[in-house]
Amino acid sequence: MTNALKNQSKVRDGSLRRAEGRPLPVIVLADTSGSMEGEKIAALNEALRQMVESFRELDDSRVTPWVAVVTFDNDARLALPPCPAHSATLPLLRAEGRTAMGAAFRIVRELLEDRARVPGSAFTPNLVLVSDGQPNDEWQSELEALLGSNRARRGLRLAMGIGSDADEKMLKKFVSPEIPVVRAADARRIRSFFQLVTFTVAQRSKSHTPNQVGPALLPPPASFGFDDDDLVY
Amino acid sequence: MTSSTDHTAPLVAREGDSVRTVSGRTLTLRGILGRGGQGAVFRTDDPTRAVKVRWSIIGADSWRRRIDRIAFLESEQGAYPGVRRFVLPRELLAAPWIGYEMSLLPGGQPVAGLILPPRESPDAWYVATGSLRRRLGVAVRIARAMNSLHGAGFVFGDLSANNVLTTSDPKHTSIRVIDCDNVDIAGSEGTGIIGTPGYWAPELVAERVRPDAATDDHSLAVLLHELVYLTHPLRGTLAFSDEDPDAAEARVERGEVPWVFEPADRSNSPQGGLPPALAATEDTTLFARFRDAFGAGLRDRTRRPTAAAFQEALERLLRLCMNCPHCGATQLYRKQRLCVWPQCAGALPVPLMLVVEPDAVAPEFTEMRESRGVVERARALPAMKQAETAGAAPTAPQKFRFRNCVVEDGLVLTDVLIRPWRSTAADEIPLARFVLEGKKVLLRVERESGLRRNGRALQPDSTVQLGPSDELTVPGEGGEPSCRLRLTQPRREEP
Repeated sequence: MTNALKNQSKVRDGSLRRAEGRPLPVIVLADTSGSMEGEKIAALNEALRQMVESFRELDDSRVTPWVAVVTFDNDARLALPPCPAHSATLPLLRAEGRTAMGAAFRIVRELLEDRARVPGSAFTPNLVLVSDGQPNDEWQSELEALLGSNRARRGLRLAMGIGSDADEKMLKKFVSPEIPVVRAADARRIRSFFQLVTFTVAQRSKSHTPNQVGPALLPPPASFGFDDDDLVY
Repeated sequence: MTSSTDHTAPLVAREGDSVRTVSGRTLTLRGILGRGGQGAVFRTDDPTRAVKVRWSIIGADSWRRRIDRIAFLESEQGAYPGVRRFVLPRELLAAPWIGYEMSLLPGGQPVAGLILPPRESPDAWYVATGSLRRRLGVAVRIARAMNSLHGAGFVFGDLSANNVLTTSDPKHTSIRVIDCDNVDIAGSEGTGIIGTPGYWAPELVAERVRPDAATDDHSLAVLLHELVYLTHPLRGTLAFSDEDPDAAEARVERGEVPWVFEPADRSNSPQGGLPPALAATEDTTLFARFRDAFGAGLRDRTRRPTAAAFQEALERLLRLCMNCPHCGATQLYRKQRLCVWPQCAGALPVPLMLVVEPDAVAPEFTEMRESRGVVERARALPAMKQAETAGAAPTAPQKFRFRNCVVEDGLVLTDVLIRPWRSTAADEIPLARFVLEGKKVLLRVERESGLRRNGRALQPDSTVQLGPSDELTVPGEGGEPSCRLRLTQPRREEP
C-alpha cells in the first residue's frame, strides 16, 4: 500500500480488529562465548534478523510465530524475552567469555514452565541450539531437567555445531529423536542453517497438526546447500 | 515416464541445474521462488516459465499420471474459459527429475494480503486496499473460476488464501490460482493431500470422502468468508483454550462449533474482522449462503452452497455497493443517510435519480432489465403515475434503450441508481426526469445534477429534448464521467 493511498483514506481505526493466532515459540539458545567473535557472531546476528523477518510472513490468524533468545557465555541470560516475532527487537549479540550452556538450559526450562511468559495456548516450542564449543559448566543435569520438562520434550529441538571444536556428542543429546545435528564448517553455513530452521517452522505453521514434530518436517538438507557429511545422525 | 522413480531417491534441484521437459525443451534453474513440503519452485532462464521440482518421491508415479491429466485440462481451456484463471502444469520434466513446467506470471500477490489486517491502522488499510467492493470483485472471480473448473469435471483440492493471487492495484480484481498440482478429475484416486488447515471440509478431516466439488465448495466458502468479513467462519472464541488448545482447534476442524455470525447462537463470537453490519449484512443473500455453508452444510454436503450459488450471491451484492465519499468505505445501498462506519458517520450522497415519465400512457409494472455498469438498480412505481394518467388512452408500449438497458415506457422508474452517487442534502427527490411527449424524449433537470449532454452541463430547472445521437454523461469522481447514456430511436414493435 502506498502512503498516498493510505493518506486518502479518512477512515479512523476502531471498527476492524486483527485476530491473533496461537503462539508458535521459537527459542534460540545462542553461544556467545569468545570463540564466536568475528565472522561467526556477525553471521549469527544477520541470520537471526532474517529469520525473524521471515516469521512475519508466517503470521496469520491461526499461527503467530513467537521468538526468544537465550545467550550463554560466562553466564546465561534471556537476551530477548518471548514475544510475537512481529514486535520483536533483536538484541545485537556480542561474543566474549566462556560457554555456560547448562545455565542456558535452566533458563529455557524455567521459561517454558512459566505460562505468563509462554502462554498455555502456545504450540509446543522449537528449541534451536547453536554452539561452537564445549560447555564448561554443569550442563548434563540441566539438559536432563530440560528434556524432562513436558513442553521441551514434546517440542522440536534442532542444533548446529559450528567448526571443529563443537561438541557434537553433546548436541546430539539435545536434538529431537531422528533429527540430525547440522555441522557448519564456517560462518557462511550459519545463515543456511537458520533458513532451514525457518522452513521447518513454516512447515509446522502450515501443518494439519503443528504439535506433531519429527524428521518429516525437515526439507532435504541438500536444498539448503548441506551435504550428507554436514549431518550427524 | 518411468516406474523406477518410486524406488530411487530424487535429485534435489539447485540453482544452476539444467532440467528437460518430456518434449525435449531444456531450462536452466535460476533462483528459488518458493519452497513447499514436497519441493521447490524455481525461476528459469526463460522469464515466462517456472519449474516445480519435487524432492519427495512418495507417490511420484500417481503424481505424474495426475499431472498428465491436468495438462490435458490446460489444452481444453477454450471450452471452459474460467479455467484460464488456473496456472496449470504445462508439461512434465523428463527423468531423473520429478516435476513440471508452468507459466510464470509477472506480479501478483496472495489474496491473504486482503484478509489479514495489519496491526497498525487496520481500518485505513482496509479502505486503501479497496474496501468491500474490491474484495467482492475478487471473490466473485474466484467463485466463477471454481464454478468453471467444476463444470469441466475437475476439482482443485487445495484452495486457500495463499493459492489465489491478485494484482496489488486496488482498482483491479483480476485473479490467478496457483499451486494447481492437486487439481484432479472429480472422484479420482486423490492426492492424499487434504488441503490447507482451516480450509478443508469436515468430511475430509474425518476421512470419509475423497476431494470433490463439495469439498472444494467448503474451501471456497471459507475463503470468500475471509474476503468479505476478514475473519475465519469458525475460528471464533471457541477455537481457543488455554487448558486444551489442541482439542479446541480440532473441534473447529471437525465443524463442531457454530458459525461466528450465527444469529441463533452467539457462543463462538469472532476474534477479529468486520461485523456483518459493515460488510454483507444479515439481510443479504450472501449472508444466507454463508449461514447454509457453516450451518447445515457442515454436516450435510447437499446443503452446502455451490460455487455457482456463491457467484450469484456475490454478483447480487456487488450491484448494491457504493463507496462513502467521506471515508471511502464501501457500503450497501440502503435508505440510511449516514455512513455505516461509526468513526465516519458522514452524510451519504443520494443517488442520482432519473425518472422516466410516460406521457398519456397507461402505466404497467414491468421488470427492468439491469445493465452492466450503467443502471445498477431501478424500482418501478406504477401506482404513483397511475393517478396522474388516469383516463388517458392506452397506447402500445414503447421501448427506449439506455445503452444496454431496456426501459419500457408506460413505467415510472424511480431510484434509478447510477454510479457514482451524487452528493446532495435532499433524499429521494429526483434530480432529473425523462419525460416522453409523444415521440419526443425530454429531460427535465430539476436540481443541480452535474449531468452533461454532449459534454455541456445541463442547468437546473431546464428541459432539453434528447435525440438519438445525444449522449448524456453522469458525473463521476474527479470530473471524469462515470457512465454515458444514449437513447436510441424509440421502437414501437417488440423485437
